[in-house]
Amino acid sequence: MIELQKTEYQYDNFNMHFVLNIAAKERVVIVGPSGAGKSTLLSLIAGFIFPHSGQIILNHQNVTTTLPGKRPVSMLFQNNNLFSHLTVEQNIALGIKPLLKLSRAERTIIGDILVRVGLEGFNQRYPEQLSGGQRQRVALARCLIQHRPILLLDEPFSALDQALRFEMLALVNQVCSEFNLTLMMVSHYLDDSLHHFSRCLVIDNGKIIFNAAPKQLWHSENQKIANLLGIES
Amino acid sequence: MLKFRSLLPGISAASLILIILSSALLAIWKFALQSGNLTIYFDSYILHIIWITFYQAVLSTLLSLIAAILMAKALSLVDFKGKKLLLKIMPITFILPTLVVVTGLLSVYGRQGLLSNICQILHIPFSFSIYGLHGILLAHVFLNFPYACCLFYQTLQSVPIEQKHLAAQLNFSNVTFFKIIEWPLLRRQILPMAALIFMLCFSSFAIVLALGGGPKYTTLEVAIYQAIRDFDLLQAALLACLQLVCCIAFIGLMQKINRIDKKLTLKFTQTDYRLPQPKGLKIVSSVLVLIGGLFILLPMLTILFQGIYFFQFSLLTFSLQQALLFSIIIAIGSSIIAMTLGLLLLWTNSRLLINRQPRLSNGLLLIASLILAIPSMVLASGLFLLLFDYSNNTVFICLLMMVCNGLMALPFIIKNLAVPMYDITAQYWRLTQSLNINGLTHFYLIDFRGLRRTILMSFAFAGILSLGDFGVIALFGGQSVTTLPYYLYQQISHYQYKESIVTAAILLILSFSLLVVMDYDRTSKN
Repeated sequence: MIELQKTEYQYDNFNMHFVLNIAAKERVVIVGPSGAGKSTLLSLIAGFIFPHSGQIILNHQNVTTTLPGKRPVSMLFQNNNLFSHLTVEQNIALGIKPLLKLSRAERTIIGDILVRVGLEGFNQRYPEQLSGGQRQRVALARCLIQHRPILLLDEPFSALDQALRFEMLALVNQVCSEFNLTLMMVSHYLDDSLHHFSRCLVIDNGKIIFNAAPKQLWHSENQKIANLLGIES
Repeated sequence: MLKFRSLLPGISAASLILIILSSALLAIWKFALQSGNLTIYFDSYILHIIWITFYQAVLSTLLSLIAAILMAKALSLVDFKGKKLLLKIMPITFILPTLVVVTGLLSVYGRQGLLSNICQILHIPFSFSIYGLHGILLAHVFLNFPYACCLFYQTLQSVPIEQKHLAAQLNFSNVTFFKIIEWPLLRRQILPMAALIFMLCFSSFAIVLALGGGPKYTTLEVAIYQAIRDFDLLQAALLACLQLVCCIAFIGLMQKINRIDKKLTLKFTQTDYRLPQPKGLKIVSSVLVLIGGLFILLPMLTILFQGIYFFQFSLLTFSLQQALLFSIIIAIGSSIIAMTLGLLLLWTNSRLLINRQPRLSNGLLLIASLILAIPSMVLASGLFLLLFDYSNNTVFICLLMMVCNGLMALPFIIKNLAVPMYDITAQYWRLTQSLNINGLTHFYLIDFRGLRRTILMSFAFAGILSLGDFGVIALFGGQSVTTLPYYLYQQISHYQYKESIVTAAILLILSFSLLVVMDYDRTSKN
């Protein structure tokens, strides 16, 4: 559950103001023009930046001033999700504890999670030996092993080709159901992928201007927003 | 398919270098054997010299690296006004004229220096003597640590912001972050850096001569100088061989570990992110930065302020003016020589790499840095002996110094330009081939226009190195040619404190203004 109460953030004379209330296990997609504040919203929730006023409540805890490591949030970025000098296993292990020595039990857990993301037996590979999609699977595996109820995705599949992107979305959907995750994902695709989500946020100029089910975007009263996004109705 | 035309520039430059170096070496041996004085001293004193040379070089390298890592980490944790300026000034100590460094350190840590004055005011006895091993180490750390620090700092900054975010989310402490993420990045640079610093300290001359304080702390390079001064040529030739063997072993080692690493592509993000840090860490880093900053800036500032304070027009003697003039002429000449040789070599080098000939390219660059292994004393005295008949000629001595200084600047120019020149040539290779851009047109349109800043900076770099050189001139200086460093050395060795500060200030201002002029960016983006 994610709640932002009158959260204000300022950056280079650009004012952002977010009010938001998302129930647990919802799947939210965030779209909007670039530079509108989509990534800022995720950064606020993750705790990389702190609001100047307002409150952020995650899973009924007020986390407005909590450090990122203590929030119930894990996150996936577009790139640089993996440390290239560490193996797949070590990269995932960092989600359990910040040490590289692993017990047998932990190895088993990592092996299991790799099976879940479809990378069985990739434990000892290095990121550069993996394809783009495989790397994001590893990063996703690490998010899952952190056991945090909120998953934030900042355009993690934008660099992948169409087929792979849909495959990854399906995988995310599957793990969200399995692990009961609340999902927020920034995207710039307005295609069939929207149907994976229960809710769509449109952000423009630092504000949320649309907050409803994705298919509402095609309704005539939202014509203006659809035009802003370049949707042909 | 490699054309002869693209090989020609590099091969001719390389053969010129080889001819000069080998004829100098052969000349020394020839004269040594002819001189009839065939006694060689290979006694415990020589073993002592070798031991001291190693010992001080190892210590200097270790101290510089430790200081550099600590300071780089501290810099990455704090922000303050003037940080950019400090980072810009820091690598300059690496090329400061060594005698200016000596004067600067004397003005801070010497008997009449700043520290002793402060101690006097506070009535604390000041017993630190800068002469001896401390002085040598202090000077070597001063010369090398800021440069290494800048490089390490850039590496620490190159960690992508996403990974810092991740680390925060994975609840890394600052120690864990350093251990798991920053250390593996730093580790790759530490060995090449250590090798470079070690080499420079191993063949250090002016500092050991000025601060060594007697025969107890002498290095091979100083011993060679003394042997040549005493006309003990066989001894000099032998010592030179010793030095050569040591240095070539190191260059070999450096090439092994110093593969041309693809630089991490830095994606500049406007907002940087830092892990949440405990207060204690912030205080410790601020203190470290303060100490490091003072250590770097104080000597330069005291030289500048005291130089202005002590300045009198009567100090601008005729010999000072003459030294200044000679210094400038020689600096310009040696920069031109170094630049020409460097560009010719790199021209061919880029084409060798494009045609996948890394071995040939390595060989070519090895020839360019061969000079690092040959003591400058040996090179200069070899050429001097070879062309002894012209030795009273001022023009000849100037030319000799230009060639020696130019050759000594060459490895640094290669280091600065090799990767950028290859990158820019490779990037536009197909395009230039299809547009039939070749030869000088290619050099002007692609290399020069694209890398103007780097090329000009390298030019200034070579000029500063030559301005500050006190090696070759130590042998020939005096009668017909003097340079500023030579003049300065005479003042230091006669304990003319005030006069030496003024000369050092002039040399310092000259070096800095050269840098500022070259650094001035006319195509500024802002």
